[in-house]
Amino acid sequence: MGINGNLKDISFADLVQMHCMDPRSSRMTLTNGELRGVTYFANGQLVHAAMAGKTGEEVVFELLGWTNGEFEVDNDIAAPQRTINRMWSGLLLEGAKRLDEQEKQRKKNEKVNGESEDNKMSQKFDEILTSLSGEVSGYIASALVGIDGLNIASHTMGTVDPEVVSAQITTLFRLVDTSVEKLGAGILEDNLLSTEKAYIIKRFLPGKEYFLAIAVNRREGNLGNLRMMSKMYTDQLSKAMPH
Amino acid sequence: MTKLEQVLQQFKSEMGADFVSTDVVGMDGISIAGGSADPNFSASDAAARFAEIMKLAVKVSNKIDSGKVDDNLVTTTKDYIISRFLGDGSFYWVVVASNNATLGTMRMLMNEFAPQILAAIPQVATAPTVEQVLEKPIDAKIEPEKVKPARDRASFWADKKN
Repeated sequence: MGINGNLKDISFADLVQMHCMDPRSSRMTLTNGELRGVTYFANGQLVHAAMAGKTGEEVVFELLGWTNGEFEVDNDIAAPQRTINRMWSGLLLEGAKRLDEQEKQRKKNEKVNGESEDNKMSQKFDEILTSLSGEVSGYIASALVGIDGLNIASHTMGTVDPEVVSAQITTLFRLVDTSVEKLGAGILEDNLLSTEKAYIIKRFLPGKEYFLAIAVNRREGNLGNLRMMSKMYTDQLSKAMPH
Repeated sequence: MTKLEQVLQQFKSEMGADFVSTDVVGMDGISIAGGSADPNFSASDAAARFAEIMKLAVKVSNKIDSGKVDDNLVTTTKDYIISRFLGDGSFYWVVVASNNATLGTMRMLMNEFAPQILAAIPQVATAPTVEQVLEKPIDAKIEPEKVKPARDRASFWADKKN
């Protein structure tokens, strides 16, 4: 009488190791959905494997990757043929190596796909900031900035260095935010700095981890237009953010 | 009531029901005139905190070559807070209004009253300009507020109820 169980409880590699300690002949049948694999043991070795028209070591390597499925063992059943000659230990070692390589390749693919998603998102932010530049009168520059002062995306029409500007205005915006909070004056929505040369508005995206900063020329800029556009484009950037 | 207080009182009247607080403040963060109409809003705390903000604004503007700072508008879910330099930058003026106020009117009134306020600042009130203050390093951090003993915050801004 054989045994049966689930691969969730014991791995195929452990089952092979266990059966190769026993010199008796046996057959192990594994099912996973529609797939059905059969392996045979004799004289303490795995001697034959078959699945979906394939036979030999490749079937064993495939079965080693199963983490789910049922197994059933019937003792004293001889293999119909011999398709595996490698020692069971070498077979498991090679299988583990292949699984490791497959896992590395999977992670690599995930990374490539992830980078591709990041590029798409970055492109989307750039498009939004470019569109913004066409709608704000006296536009100089804009940036989507993290609360750490680093730019996520930026767009400039002049010679402004967005990295320097973002780092500086983040310090100011954070101080304003802290002060508003300590004064109990509600929740900060935006901050507009008017200088001799420019209007610089900063507005948080929901969650306060990022903000949109827009700088316009003081002479050509229009405050109402600037505030309205900052609201509209903050919403657009927020929708483009991954959640 | 000093001349400065009279001008500020007039400004408050023009602002109407949306007025919350105003102060004329030296760059040391100490108010020389003003107060709050809302007992829950501490004008002196606002004066001190916005002095730090104005100093940092000047420093930031210098670093990004954006020229002299004129004013700073903060919009919150409750209020509008506008702080602007007066004259040579020895003092700044901060006005807090509820966000039901018309921002355009608030700015217009501030433009109208700024020269009167500057003229009303006592000549004896000499204070270092923001540039002089900035020669010293700015400490942008504001320490957490210590719990103060309860005190009557009534000032000449509070509407007297009979």
